[in-house]
Amino acid sequence: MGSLIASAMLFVFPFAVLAYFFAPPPFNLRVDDPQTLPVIVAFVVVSIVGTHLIEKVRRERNVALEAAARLRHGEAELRDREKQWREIFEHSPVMHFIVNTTGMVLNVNTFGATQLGYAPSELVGHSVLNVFLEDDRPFVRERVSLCIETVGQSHTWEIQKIRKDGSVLWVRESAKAMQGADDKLVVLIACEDITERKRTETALRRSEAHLAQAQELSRTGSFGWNVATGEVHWSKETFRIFQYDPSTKPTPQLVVDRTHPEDRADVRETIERAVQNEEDFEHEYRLLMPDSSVKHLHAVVRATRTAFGDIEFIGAVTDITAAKQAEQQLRRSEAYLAEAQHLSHTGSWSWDVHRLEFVYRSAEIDRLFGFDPGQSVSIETIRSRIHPDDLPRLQDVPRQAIIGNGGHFEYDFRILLPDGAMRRIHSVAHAVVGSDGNVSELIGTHMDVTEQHAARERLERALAALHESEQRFRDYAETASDWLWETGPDHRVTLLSEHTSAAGLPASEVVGLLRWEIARDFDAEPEKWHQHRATLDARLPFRDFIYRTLTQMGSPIYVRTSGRPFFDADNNFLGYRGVSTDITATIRADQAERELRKAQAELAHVTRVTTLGELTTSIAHEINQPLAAIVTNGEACLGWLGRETPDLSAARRSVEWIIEDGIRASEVIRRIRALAKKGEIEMVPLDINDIVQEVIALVTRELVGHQVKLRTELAPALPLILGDRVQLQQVITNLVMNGIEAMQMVRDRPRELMIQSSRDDMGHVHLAVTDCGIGITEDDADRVFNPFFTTKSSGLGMGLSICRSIVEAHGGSLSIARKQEPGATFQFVLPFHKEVVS
Amino acid sequence: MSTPPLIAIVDDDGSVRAAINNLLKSHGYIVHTFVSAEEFLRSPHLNGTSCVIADVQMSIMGGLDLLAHMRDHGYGAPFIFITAFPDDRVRARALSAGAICFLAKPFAGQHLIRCLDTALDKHRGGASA
Repeated sequence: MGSLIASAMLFVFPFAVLAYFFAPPPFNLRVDDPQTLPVIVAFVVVSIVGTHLIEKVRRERNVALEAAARLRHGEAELRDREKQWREIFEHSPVMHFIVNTTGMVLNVNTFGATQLGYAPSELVGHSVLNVFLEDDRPFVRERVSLCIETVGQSHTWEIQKIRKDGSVLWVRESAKAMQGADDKLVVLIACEDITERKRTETALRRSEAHLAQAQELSRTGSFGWNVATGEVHWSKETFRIFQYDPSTKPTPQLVVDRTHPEDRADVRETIERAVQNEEDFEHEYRLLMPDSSVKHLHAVVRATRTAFGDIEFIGAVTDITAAKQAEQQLRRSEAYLAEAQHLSHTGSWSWDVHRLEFVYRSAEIDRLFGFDPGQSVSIETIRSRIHPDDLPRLQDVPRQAIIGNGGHFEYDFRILLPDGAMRRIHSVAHAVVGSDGNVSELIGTHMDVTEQHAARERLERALAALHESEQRFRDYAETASDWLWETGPDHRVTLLSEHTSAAGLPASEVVGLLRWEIARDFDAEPEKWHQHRATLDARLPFRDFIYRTLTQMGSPIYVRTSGRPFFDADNNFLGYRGVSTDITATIRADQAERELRKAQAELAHVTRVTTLGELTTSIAHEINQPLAAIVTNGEACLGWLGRETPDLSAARRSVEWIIEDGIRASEVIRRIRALAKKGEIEMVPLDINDIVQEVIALVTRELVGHQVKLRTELAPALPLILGDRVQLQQVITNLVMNGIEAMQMVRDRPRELMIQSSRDDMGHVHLAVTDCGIGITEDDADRVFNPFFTTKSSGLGMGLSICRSIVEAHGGSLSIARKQEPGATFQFVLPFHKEVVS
Repeated sequence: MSTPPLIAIVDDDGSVRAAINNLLKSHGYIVHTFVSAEEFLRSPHLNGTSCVIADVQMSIMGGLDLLAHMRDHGYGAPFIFITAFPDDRVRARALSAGAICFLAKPFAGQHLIRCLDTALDKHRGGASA
C-alpha cells in the first residue's frame, strides 16, 4: 500500500511541476510547439523511471517491513524454540553436558545430573572428568581434544561413568565441538545410558562362551546350512572336530572331504536325501583325520524354514570316538569275559530259589549242561542232566541257603549229558538276600573240573608209579652196589643205607665224617684225593673213584664209589648222593692179572730175542747188503775222483747212493731194535697190513735163503685193530718162520708161503699164514700151543704158546685151520678197534 | 788189447749191483748188470764175458748153480762170488768149483779189483793158451 501511495505521489508531483513552469492553460494537452515534444518524451521517460524507482523503493520497504515482522516473529519463535529445547534439554532421557575446552562443565541437563546422582549445580563448574573412572580419564581427555581439533564433527564412543554413590553405568557418548556465544569453543556431549545393553551383551557373550565351552566339553559342534544361499555356519567346536582352521570358509564339501572313504557314500546320500525331502536327519559316520586317526561322529540335524522360506539345516555334531571306543572296549571285554568263561570252562548263573529257575545263565552254562543257548529250560530238564547220585545234594543247597539265610556255598556234582558224557562241576555260590530280608537268589559259578579231575587222577597214578619206580631203582642200586650214601653240602656223610654192614662199615661210625676221613689212603695218594676234591668243589659228578679204607674189623678193603651232586629247586647245592661197592676181591684179581701179564710180557720178550737169534743170518744179510753197497760206492767215488779228469758228477752220484744205502741200513737196524726192545706194551690203533709189510721186510732174506716164494693176499682198507705193534710183529714173524721151517724138507714142490688178511662181518680182522710144508699131525694139533712143545731141535718151544697169549691179550684168538693140501694154516682173528665199529 | 774186457755182474740186490757197476766203471771197465742168473744166461753178452761177478744166494738159481751151468755149457769165464752169508762150507764149494775169489759183503773195493785183475789175467791166459 505504501508503495502505491508513493507511486501516485510521484506521478502527481511532475504534473504539478509542469503546470507550474509551463501553464497558463492549466489542462491544455496540446502540443503547440513541436519543440515541446522532446519535453513530453522526456517527461514520460522520467515518469516511467520515477515510477520504477518508486516501485522499487516501495518493494524494498515492504521487504524490510516483512523482514522486521519476520524477525519479530522469529524472535518469538526462537524464544519458543529455546524454551522448547530447554525443555527437551532438561527433560530429554539423554544426558547432556556442555563443557569448555578445559573439560569444565558449563551446563548439564537435570536428567544427566540426576542419572549420575548429582544436582546440576553440583556438576557445573567442575571438571567433567570427575564422573569418569580414574583409568578412563586420559581417554576422555583425548576424546575432548579430538573434538576440539575437529570442530563440528561428531565423535561417538562407549564408556563407563561413576555415579555419586560410586556405582557405574555404561554410556554411549556423542560429542561435538562448536563455537560458543562468545566465540569460545564448547563441547556438547550427549550420553545415552547403555548399561542394560551392555549387561545383555555381556550375558550374551557369557552364554556364547558357555555354549562354546559346553560344545567343547561335550565335543559337540553346531552348524547351520542354508541350502538355497549356500551359507554355512560352523561353531568353533565344529571346526575343532573336523580339524579345520577356524578361518576356513565352511562348506558341506569339507565334511565330505574329511569323511572316512568307507562312509563317504552314505554321508553323501544322507545329506542329499535330507535336502530333497527337506527333513530332519540323524546319522553316525567316521572321519579320517590327516594323522590317519579315525573319529566317530554323531550328527543330529533339524530342517527349518527361514523367514525367507528357504530350507536351513541346523544341527549338532558330536565326537563320539571316546564313547565308541568305550563301547568297543566294553563289547571286547564282554567278549573276553565270554572267552574267559569258555576257556576256564566256568559259567556264571543266578538261580531264583523260589521259582526254581535260572534268572540268568551265561553261555558257558548252556554249554556245560548242553542246553540250547537262550532257550528256557524247565527244572525237569535241569534235573535230568544231573547225576542221580548228586541230585539230592544239589537240591539241598538252596534249602540250606534259605534256612541259613544267606552264606557261601561250595559243592561238587556231575553233569550227565544226553550223549552219555560226564562232566565234573565244581560250584561256588552265594545267597542273595532280597529287600524283604529273605534269600531270593543264589548267584554262582559252575566250573568244569572234568579235566582237572582226570589230571589229578593221572597225577595220583603217576605218584604211585613214581613211588614204585623209586623202589625199583632203589632195588637196582642196592643190588648193584654194597651201599648207598648221601653227604651234605660240607661233604659230611648224612646217610648210609642199611645194607652197609655187609661191607663191614657200620653207618653209625661213618655218618658225620667227611668222606676223605673214611679213607685210609688220603696221605698215601694225595694227588688222587686232590683231584677228587677238585671234582667235588666243581660240583661235578664222579664215577668209579677207588679208595682204600678199613673195615670195623680192621682189614683193608678197596671201595669203588660213584656220586652226583644234587640241588634244590633254586639250584642250591645240597650235597652228593652215590653208591659204593667193596671191590677188594676185584682189585686183588686185577693185581694178580697184572703180575701174570708182566710175566707173559717178559716171556714174550725172551722169545722174541730168541727169534732174533734165529734170524741172525737174515739180519746180517740185510745189513751187509747196504754196507757192501756203501763201501763199494765209496771206493767208486774215489775212483771217479782219482781219474785224470775227475768225473765229479759220477762221484756225486756215488755219494748220493751211499747216503741212500746208509739210510736203508739204519732202517733195518731200527726194526731189529724195535723187536729186541723190552718196552711197555703200547696199545694203539694199527693196520694189520702194515705190520705184515714190516714183518716181510724182516724175513725176506730168510725166505730167499730157504728158497721160499712168498705170496700175499692182503685185503685193502681193513678196519684198524687195537694192539701192540711189536707183539703183533712177533706173532706174525713167528708164524712165518714156522712156515719156512715146515717147508725145509720139501723138495718135490715149490716152497710157497701165503700171508692173507681179511675181515668178517662179525667185526674181526683175520690174518692167516699158510705153508705147504710137512703139516701138523692130528696129535700135535692139540699140543702145538702148549708151552715147551716143539718139533724143532733148537728153540725153547715157547713160540706158539706166547703167540696165543699175545693174541688173546689183544682180545682175539689164534688157531690152526685144517686144509686138504699139504701144509698148515695158522690164523688169528682180532676185533676191530671200537672207535671204528661205532 | 784187441777188445776191452766185458764184466758181468749178477746180483738180485739192486743197490749192490749198482754200486759194483759204479766202482768198475770208475776204473774204466765195461760192465753189464743182470738181476738174475736166468737173465744173464739169456743175454747176448754171455759169450763175450771176460769175468762174472755173481751173488751166491739168489732165488731160483744161485751163483754156484750158474757157474756149474756155464761150465756145463762150455763157458769158461772166470767167476768171482760175493755173498752176504759168508759160510765156510759155501766158500769151500765155490773155490773148489773154480771161483777166483769168494768175497763177503761188505768187501773192500780194492780187493774186488785185485780179484778182477787176477781173473782177467787168467782169462786172457786161458784164452791165449
